[in-house]
Amino acid sequence: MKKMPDAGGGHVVKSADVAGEASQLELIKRKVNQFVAQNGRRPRVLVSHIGPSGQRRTLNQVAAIFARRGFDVDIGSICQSPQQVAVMAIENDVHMVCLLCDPERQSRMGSDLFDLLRANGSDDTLVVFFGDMDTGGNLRQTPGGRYSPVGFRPASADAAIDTILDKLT
Amino acid sequence: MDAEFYIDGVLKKKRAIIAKSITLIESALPAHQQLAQNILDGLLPYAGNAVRIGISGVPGVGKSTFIESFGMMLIEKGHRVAVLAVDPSSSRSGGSIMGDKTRMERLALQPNAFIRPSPTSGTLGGVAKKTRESMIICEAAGHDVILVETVGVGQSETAVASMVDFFLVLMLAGAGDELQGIKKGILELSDAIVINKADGNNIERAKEARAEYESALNLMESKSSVWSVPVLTCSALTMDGLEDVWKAISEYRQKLTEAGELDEKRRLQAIDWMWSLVENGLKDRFFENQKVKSQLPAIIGAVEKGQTSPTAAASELLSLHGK
Repeated sequence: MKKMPDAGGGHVVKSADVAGEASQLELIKRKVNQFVAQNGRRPRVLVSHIGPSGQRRTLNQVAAIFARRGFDVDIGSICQSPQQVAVMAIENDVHMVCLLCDPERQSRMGSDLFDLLRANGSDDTLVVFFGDMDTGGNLRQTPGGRYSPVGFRPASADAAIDTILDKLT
Repeated sequence: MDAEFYIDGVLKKKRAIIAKSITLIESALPAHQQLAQNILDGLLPYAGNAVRIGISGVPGVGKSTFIESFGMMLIEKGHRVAVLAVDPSSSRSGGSIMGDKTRMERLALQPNAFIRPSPTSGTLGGVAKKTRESMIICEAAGHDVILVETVGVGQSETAVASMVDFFLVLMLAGAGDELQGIKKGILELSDAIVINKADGNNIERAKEARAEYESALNLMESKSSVWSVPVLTCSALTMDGLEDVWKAISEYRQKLTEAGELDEKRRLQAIDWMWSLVENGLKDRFFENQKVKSQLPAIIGAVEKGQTSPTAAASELLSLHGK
């Protein structure tokens, strides 16, 4: 979705505007509101799990993290195939997919999913991974496309989501 | 992308374009709304031929499972099914969690099914503002059965009932005590009552509940001269009774079409739709009015402190808007 400069106003919220860790949540909420003003809807994320074994509980936890920060969240299911995730992402027209997946599968699943999205004309969908690695919220862009491993645990979720929001807007 | 691009994509049944058209319809941006209006104008001639079914019931009654099983049955019969599900947004953060689709896993993968959950985004009544418009997109994309799922609380039933041909209310057995608590309103809206989870040990209780609902319905005046509201039992889990539900809906369509009541119903719904758009538009304009915007906090404060009566405050606000 393209930016609508006339609707969002000129102001861009920067991390420096708000000091202190306690206000990171507030900063995210402000960024979300800014996103809504520019895009006409809340950032929408599909949280899903790919692979043979997974826990429903973790899915729900990640979903709650996003919802609390003002995202519209579609919860997928556990043990999905890239095909299943792609159909849901396309039908629900989400801005991003947050995948739960074994670290060793991430690269393959990510590119499979991205290929499926691109084949259906949804190549503007961001794909990120929820995992145990701690990259301090740094979103790394892979050369082939817009899928990136972003390690966020509930504890570092704000930093990760902050980065994601910059990526989306 | 212009309207033609979307119209063409929807008519060619392209999933991503159908999805993006619904997004435009739901968008709050004026530019998107204008584009969405042009898309709708282009698609309207291709819409209107589907069976529109509203499905309501209290949380836990098995709405999603019912839609999964019912939808699968219809797909097997060769229908194209669209499901529009409305999920409540959280009022605190504004975000919402939409998990319905996870309970429609088989249906979600069917090439002839399209499932789109929508956040209510603060709309009173629990149904997304734009469900009617989304319905038109799905119909133009060749879906001949539209299922609108709604949370069965508050005023959402009334909103959904006013946009569908057939309003189905799901109930649970063991309703003896429940019946007291159920608003007469929802029974009055319904075109059929279906008691779900009539399986295993529950079959006998479902039959008892059926008799109770039938007698409760006897007290009510019929909405239609050719249709009396049936009470059915089914199990979305074992698929028992679903065939009868579809039979009832088909029979309803046939009877009302012959009597001219279905056309009449849709005509009245079109007028309803117009009024609800006028209402929304007036509300939006009221809140966008600069004078209202500047005075609103002070007036709210005065009412809060008891300095102004609510009546006086309301009339002041309305006169500000009228200026």
